[in-house]
Amino acid sequence: MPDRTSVANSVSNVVIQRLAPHLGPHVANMAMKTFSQKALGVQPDAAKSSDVPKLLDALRPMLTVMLGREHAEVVIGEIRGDFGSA
Amino acid sequence: MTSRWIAIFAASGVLVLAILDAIVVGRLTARASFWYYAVARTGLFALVAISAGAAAGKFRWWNEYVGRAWTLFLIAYSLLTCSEIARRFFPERPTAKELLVAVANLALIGAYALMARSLHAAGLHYFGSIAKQVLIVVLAAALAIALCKGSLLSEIASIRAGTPHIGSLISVLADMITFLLVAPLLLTALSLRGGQMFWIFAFLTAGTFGWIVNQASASVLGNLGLQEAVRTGRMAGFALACCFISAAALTQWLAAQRGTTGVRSHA
Repeated sequence: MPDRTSVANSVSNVVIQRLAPHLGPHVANMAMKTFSQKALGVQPDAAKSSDVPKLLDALRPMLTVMLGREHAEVVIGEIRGDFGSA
Repeated sequence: MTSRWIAIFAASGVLVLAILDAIVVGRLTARASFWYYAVARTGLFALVAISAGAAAGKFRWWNEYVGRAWTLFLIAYSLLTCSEIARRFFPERPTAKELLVAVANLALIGAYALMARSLHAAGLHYFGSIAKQVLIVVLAAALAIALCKGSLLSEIASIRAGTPHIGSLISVLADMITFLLVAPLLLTALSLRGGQMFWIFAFLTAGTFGWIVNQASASVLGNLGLQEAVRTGRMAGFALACCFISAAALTQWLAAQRGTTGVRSHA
């Protein structure tokens, strides 16, 4: 998983890669786009590692509806783990 | 077990029941035929109820969005199981059966509506062009009207004559709504393709298509005078509906189980 010093759009790529096995690539991309704009006010590619906690808070309700609470927390934990202490 | 294997098992179940109906059941005595349908239909309804119950329990019943949908499926198919038993073994009490079916249909509408608007509830929308989405909705609406028009007109005539059949009216309206909801279910499945959730919505769409086959067999084949084919068509549609809704529930349960225990599915 990503190096924390890698390019900014790796946040987007990592989140999409984590969501895609569950939601498929189309909805994973859509979710990243929708929630980075809603929560961060930026395009997905502009999201930074420091934005990850806020982005995950925004993704949580969506994941809870689609996957259920427990499974959603596992996916969120995986993404959080990808960015270390983020 | 992967989603593909679940699909293969469900499709095999449908095929076996359709072949049995076409080849064997027509040759059975009235009593044997009665028991065949009693066991097969009650068993299939119960199968959906058990699968839906497992999925609902995994999502803490009414406490979560997905859990609410599966709880309603559980209620609907448990009532349909009871109605099937009432219809076969207590025919002198048609009101009980009618009441059970009416409540089951209301629960089914709720279950399908929750599933059909999952993406919207999650703050997302369908993938693909608006033209494609409109086309699918229009086709589903046309299908719903074409298949239910006769029954709906008959129910309206009953109301005008002062002899309304509330249970039948709810059944017809529930069928129409369910057939309409095949459009958002299909659009959700198409949006989710490539992901584990795709299979759940694809199976639900296939299950709803089963109810369409069940209804269409009566209206289309019946009008053509193919009574033997009507029976087999209805049974195939019924099996398609029950096997694939069970498959959807099982896939939902497995996805949650694997997601929370770290075991990956190889769909």
